[in-house]
Amino acid sequence: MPNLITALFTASDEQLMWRVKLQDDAEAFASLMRRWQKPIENLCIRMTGDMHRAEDLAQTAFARIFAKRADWQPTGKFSTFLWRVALNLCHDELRRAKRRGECSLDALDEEGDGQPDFIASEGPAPDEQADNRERAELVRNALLKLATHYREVVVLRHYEGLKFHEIGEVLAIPEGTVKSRMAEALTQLNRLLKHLNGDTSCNPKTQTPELLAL
Amino acid sequence: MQSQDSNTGTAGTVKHPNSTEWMSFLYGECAPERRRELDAHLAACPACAGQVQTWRSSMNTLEEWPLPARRHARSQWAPALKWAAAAAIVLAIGFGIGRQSSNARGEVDALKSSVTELTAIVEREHNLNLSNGVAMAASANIQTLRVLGEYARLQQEQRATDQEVIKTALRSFDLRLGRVRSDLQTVAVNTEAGFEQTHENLAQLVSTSIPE
Repeated sequence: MPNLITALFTASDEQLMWRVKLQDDAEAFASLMRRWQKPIENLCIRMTGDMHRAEDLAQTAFARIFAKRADWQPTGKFSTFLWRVALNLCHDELRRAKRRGECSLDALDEEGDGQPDFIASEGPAPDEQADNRERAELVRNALLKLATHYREVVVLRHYEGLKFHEIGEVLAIPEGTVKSRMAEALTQLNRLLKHLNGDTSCNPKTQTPELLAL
Repeated sequence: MQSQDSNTGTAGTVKHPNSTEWMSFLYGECAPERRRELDAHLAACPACAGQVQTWRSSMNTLEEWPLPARRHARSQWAPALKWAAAAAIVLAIGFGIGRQSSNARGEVDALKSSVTELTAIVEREHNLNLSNGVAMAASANIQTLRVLGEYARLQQEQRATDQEVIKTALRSFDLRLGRVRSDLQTVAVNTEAGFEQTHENLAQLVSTSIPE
């Protein structure tokens, strides 16, 4: 019953975006942001490995959506449009970082306490927390070493929960290609995680050659 | 990848599922029947079982990079929201019935009856339950009813205002119509006089221009 009530009284993303497009409806756009800000931020964190930059990227994605509202066509899902815009921003950011010679792996924690802020402070005991942080760091590093076209598929399917066909729509590639990339990404991750223990260096020159070539 | 499939009990070769099928399998996107087939294949094929285990291992490892959990600040207001939603539904139904079956007064009556019905429901609920949660819900509901009553009153006032505006507009329109009619009559009279004058002028012109 609550779901039914929610469904009755909740406008779809597309209805809200239609209002934004035709009437510049600020409240409708605020609703879209409330729904999607967190998933888009998470996407940007997983893609760039940088929480602080991810917040800016998510904000920029929404600003770009609003700026392009007149171009939006209600033929597809709003979320497809949004994921695509956010992913393109992540790609741009990664290219810029590469040109600057930065390594996103270094940008994990700038707070100075030596602890990544994506780990909740409550819960396990300190030594267990340290172990969890270390493992999270290894996974993050491995993910960031994947070529972007593999990483985006892993992030959208595994972390954001999109179906393979939805990812195909976002990336404008066949569903079969998405699945092939996912399989290859999981294979590479398995290999990377076996070799990453004790090696958190982010110097691109030290990365696995075959991965850089992908 | 071709191999003997011991599970089939035949000597024929069996095509192994490809990686795209295994991805659908691992992420729960394949049909139940196909899932059963793939499960059976896994049980009988060590090569595929090894490959799938590798992928599963990567999937499990990905879980070790968590992000902060989202905050949920809704539970405190959930009872009030439920009551508000119920009130909105009753209001909408009452409003719809009123609109279908009656004029403006009927609509207001439908609203009032909805409010009365809700009041009765709240009183019953209030009497039956004395816990804090229910008290909070009832309080929220009374607030909702107050808002609904206010809404009904405003609706009536708005309707009266609208009727007054329409009356004024009609009076103004009537006056304008009268003026236009009067103007048209003047134009008609003037036109007729103009015709007569022209006719006379023409007759005079004809009489003076015919040679004697």
